[in-house]
Amino acid sequence: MNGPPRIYENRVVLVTGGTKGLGLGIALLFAAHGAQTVLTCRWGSADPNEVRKRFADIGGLEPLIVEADVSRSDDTKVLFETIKKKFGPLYAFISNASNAATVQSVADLTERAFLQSMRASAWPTVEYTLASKEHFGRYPRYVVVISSDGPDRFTPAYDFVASAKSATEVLARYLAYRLREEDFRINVIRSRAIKTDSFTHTFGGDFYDFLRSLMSEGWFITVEEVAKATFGLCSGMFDAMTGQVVVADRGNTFADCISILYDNRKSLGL
Amino acid sequence: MNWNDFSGHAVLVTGGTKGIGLATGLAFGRRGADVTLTQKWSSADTQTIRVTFAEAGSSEPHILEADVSQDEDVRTVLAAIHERHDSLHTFVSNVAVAPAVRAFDQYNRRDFARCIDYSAWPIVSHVQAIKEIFGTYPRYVLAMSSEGSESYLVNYDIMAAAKAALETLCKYMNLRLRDYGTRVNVLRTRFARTDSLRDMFGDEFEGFIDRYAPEMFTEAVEVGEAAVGLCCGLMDAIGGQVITVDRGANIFDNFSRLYDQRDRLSLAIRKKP
Repeated sequence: MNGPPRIYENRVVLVTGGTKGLGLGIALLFAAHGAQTVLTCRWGSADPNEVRKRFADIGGLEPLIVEADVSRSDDTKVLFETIKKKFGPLYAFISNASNAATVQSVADLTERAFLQSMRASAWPTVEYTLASKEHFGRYPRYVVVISSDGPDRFTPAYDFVASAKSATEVLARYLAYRLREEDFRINVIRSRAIKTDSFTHTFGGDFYDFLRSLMSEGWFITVEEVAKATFGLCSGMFDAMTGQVVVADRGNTFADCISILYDNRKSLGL
Repeated sequence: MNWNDFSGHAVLVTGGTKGIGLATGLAFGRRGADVTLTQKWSSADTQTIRVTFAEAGSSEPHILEADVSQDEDVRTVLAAIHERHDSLHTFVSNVAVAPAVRAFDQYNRRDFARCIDYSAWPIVSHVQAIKEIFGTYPRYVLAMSSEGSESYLVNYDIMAAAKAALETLCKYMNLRLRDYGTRVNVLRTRFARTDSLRDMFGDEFEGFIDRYAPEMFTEAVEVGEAAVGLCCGLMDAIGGQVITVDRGANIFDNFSRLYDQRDRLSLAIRKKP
């Protein structure tokens, strides 16, 4: 069996929040196709040697790991200057990092937390896209934004996260229109129920155990599955697709309702 | 994992001798798939199709006459594929037939039923027949659809209703078949320069779009590439989804865009008489 086609050789891919969970999985898949990856993380949130080893293990190029907070424009500037100096223009940008406040009760609904969440979770996609043009003279050929189905349906603690995701999806549609004559396309992947650090961080471990009592382990979406779909949108096969929101959940959301529990009520003892 | 190699895999595209169906068949063929194309009333020149496949480095496609609404025809097609393959990798349900509707009094039950038979039900009848003949479901099932069920398209009433039914069936089929490892999805586009577009929208439509919305045409080949993308193994997290590949036209096919581009399009503001 042949390895992955090396269609990303000599191409630079930026993944924000790329040192852990879904971001890391996506970056690894691009690296497996030959990409030079740039991963951002917040200060002290990743062990760079461990991350580098993951890339070495699959024969990928060593990633550049940059500490950059997506909510700080100073960090953005330094990041893009560094990428320009070391590698040149971005071919693909995966907007994955998201840092919105969680809401446990009505008392957590504050203006300050809302605005900070929008800044740290919705704005970075736009800021990085514009920074690409500013620093490299061109937009990335592909932008993929990682989102979730929170904007449409209730998710625990997700008030601000969902608001920010919703705003990002709208901005993606408008960017698709504004930049339609550029060699640029932007799409959004909504994933859900992927078991990563961020899932546990946002929902707490109990939510996983609760879902696990209702659905099989195979129901959960894996990092690899979403990484492949993200890469797929940047593979050249979806070049006529832009401004779209794609749900990467094997159809789980469609059947996330009381009717599926009714179907399975006997085996679940409900 | 080489997702770009379909060697040894059988792919069936209904209505595959023209337009988007042909582009889809070719996209699979170029990657090594053994492609079967069906047609019924198409006047396509099969020799030209064979040459196109050969030039793309594809093996020769199997072109069969078959009516998607006739179970016997469907079985004959599948039996022919089964002689060469133990399983069908990908089934693309592309055929759609509906009358162009110009006024409400042209709605009639017979046309509607026939449109469902040709444009919505074949995805079910084919997948059931595939299971019967091969013993397994295909790995990927893809329905070709359009945006007519969500926004008005010229003369599209009956077709849009069938597409809505088709898309809904796909969502349920994905749920019913996913435990067998099958992914069912829908690919939508808006406007492609095909015979189907001319048949439905009329001969003047293409020129009108060229004049006022030139960026709204999607190439058939772009839709074909996306079809392969959904069936190549990279997109296995996508199931029961409607994927729109139209260069963003669904976002900006509206009056706001016309207003935004009014100078470029020389759209003067008309005074009311």
